[in-house]
Amino acid sequence: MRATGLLLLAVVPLPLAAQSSQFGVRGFGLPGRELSARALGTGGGFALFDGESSRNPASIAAIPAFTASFAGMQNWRTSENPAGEATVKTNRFPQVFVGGRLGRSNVWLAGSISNYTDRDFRLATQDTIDLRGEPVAVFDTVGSTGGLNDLRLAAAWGLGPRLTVGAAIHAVTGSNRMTIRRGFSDTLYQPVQESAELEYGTFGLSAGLWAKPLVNVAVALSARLDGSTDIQVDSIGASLAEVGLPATVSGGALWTASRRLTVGGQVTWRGWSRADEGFEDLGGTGAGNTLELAGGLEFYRNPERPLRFPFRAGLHWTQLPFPLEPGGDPAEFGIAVGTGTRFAAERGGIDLALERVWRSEGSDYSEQAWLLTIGISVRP
Amino acid sequence: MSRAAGLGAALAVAAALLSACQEELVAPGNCPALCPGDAVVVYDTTLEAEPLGDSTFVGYTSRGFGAYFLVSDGLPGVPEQRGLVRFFARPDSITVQDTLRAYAIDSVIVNFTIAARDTSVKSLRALFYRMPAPLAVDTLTDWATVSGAIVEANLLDSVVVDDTTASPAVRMRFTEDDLSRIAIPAADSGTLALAVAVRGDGPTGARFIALGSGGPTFTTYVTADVADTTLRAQVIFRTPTVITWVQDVPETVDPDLLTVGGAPSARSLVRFRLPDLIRDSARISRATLEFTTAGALPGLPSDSAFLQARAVLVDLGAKSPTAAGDGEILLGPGPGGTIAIDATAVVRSWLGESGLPNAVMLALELEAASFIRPIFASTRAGGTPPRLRLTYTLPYRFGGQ
Repeated sequence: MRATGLLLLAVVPLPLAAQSSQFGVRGFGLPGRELSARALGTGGGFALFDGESSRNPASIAAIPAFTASFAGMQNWRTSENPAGEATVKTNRFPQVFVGGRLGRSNVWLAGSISNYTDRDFRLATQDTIDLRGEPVAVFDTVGSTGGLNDLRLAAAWGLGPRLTVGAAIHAVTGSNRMTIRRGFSDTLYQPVQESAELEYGTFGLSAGLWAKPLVNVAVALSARLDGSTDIQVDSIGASLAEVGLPATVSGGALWTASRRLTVGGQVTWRGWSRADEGFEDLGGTGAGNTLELAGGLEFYRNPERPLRFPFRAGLHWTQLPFPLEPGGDPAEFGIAVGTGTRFAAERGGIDLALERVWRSEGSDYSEQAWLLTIGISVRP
Repeated sequence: MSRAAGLGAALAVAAALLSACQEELVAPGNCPALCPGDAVVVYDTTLEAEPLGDSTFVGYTSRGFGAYFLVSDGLPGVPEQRGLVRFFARPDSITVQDTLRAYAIDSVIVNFTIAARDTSVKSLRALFYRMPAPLAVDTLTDWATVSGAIVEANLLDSVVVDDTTASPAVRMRFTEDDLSRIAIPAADSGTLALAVAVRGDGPTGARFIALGSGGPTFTTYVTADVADTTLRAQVIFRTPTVITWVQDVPETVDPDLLTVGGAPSARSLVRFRLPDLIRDSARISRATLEFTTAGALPGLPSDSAFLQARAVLVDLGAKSPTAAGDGEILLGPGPGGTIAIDATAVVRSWLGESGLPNAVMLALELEAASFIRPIFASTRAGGTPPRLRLTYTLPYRFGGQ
């Protein structure tokens, strides 16, 4: 029974994507955060130390036992731009993780599927054109579903009580199922609709470490390099362009301030400018490097049972790589709170994170979202 | 609660929370600034029919085989038309209890139904004349024979048509002393044949139902010569064996124009040549066939008929098989002009490698059964040739950013 449950968690094809957004229209879309519900509850501050997140391959050594987990995210979002305002909602499953310690060795293995970028959007516009000498209102809908997923196989080695190193290989794959539809106010004109699938695929490598230089301080570093991907269009069977995915460097620290309080933070730089030329060649607005800052804390109500309803909080700020308009500088700021518990002799667990996120680019484009993430974990 | 039950309950609650909200993904699009890729471009093109590729063919449905028969009286632009109906012969004895019995006629009812008439003309009467013996009535009976029978001496009945209903029944009932008027001479061997005319306060006409419910019936109520009194009342019911009309002027077809309808019915095949780009790649949003009449459209006021543009499955000229009614328009009499038929479905069937021939067959939905007989300009004569107006888009360039 346990084996069946784990197998289901591992193989059920889940739509992997994060929060849909008008900021996911350009480039590869809105970057995912590759975090578990616990890490999201700390604003991403614990990202490099959280075993069920996919930022640092060395962090899987934090998993006490073989664990399978997945996260589901519900998103309520209000978008504003010069065309108007809309309130929408979506749900996604941005993180799936399976991993644990290899017997009694100092080796940990894990596999995960994370949302790398999310390009789910549907934009509705209205215009009036002249057809056969008469003004006719037209209603256009441009949409995309899909994005890039990060399939990671990671290994970590404990080199002593104070140092763990890890490495991972990544397969970044995905597609955008694009549709465009034009409807007419005059029903004598029948709607026209087209669709195509853009396909992507490349590989990447990452490495990381987790060190504990002081009794109550841990530090982590992680670096990752992804290859370039062809953008294949199924409808014409041709490659549109080759676009580079970024190099990523992260560093973070975790301070155990007391038996009840842990504080952490991290900085991540992503070299998205590798994608700039490819997207500009496709007539887009290009891509720019991004910096992410995140910090958070975890407060334990009961230090003897720290995983039973701790209080988590944090905030993050990050630049977004794909500007909506040329020269734009989109960014995201978020505040998060979270908690969780373990039950059934700690074989099952639920973590919750609630985030309030603000995104903007200049004064024309903005949106606010509530993101509720529920993480479920099983330790057979 | 056991551990497994607790774990299961927690997972169920989490799954319910996650699946409770439906996807809803529409946001306002500030296009073109925000929308990726190019804008949708709608093209509008007018094509003329292929020169000399349009023709009229005649002889699909003959007079007397349509769903209606036509009767007119002085309608402008329409030939004079008189109905002609011959019923199956009424036997001189009937079978009761497996034995042929003689009978005595109690009453006779003859029914017709008018499907369409000019409602603006009042005091419409339907006039029924006995075709004199010896009968020689069939689908080849000519105008002279029928008009020669339409004399006072042969008048069977003159029925005032109810002008309060859309499809009035016309009923003649003969009893007792009236029975002699509908007595069938021995020379006619029990066959009743009638010529049908109409009269009104002005020029008018009527379209009578010929087939199916509402068609002519000839019913005789008799008393059979049988001892069992409960079996004496019998009914002899007869339907037409010939139901047609004759007209004073035969229809002709101008080979330089496109004619549709009439009896025998005409159809017109019109060919177009789609540009390769459209045939291979376009998505048709609207296609409209336009035909210009070569004059006014005569017919019965307030009556109409569907003009259809049918997709041609295989272009075999006159014998081209067609799909049923892909595009149609209701036509009534009038001054004429440009007739537009939505042909989006037809033109869509032309697209692609396995598309149908780029042609339409113009036909009336009900042939040999309508006063309307439109005549259109062709690529040879008559004015503006047939045209096809296309509104379409070409393939969208996905992948734009």
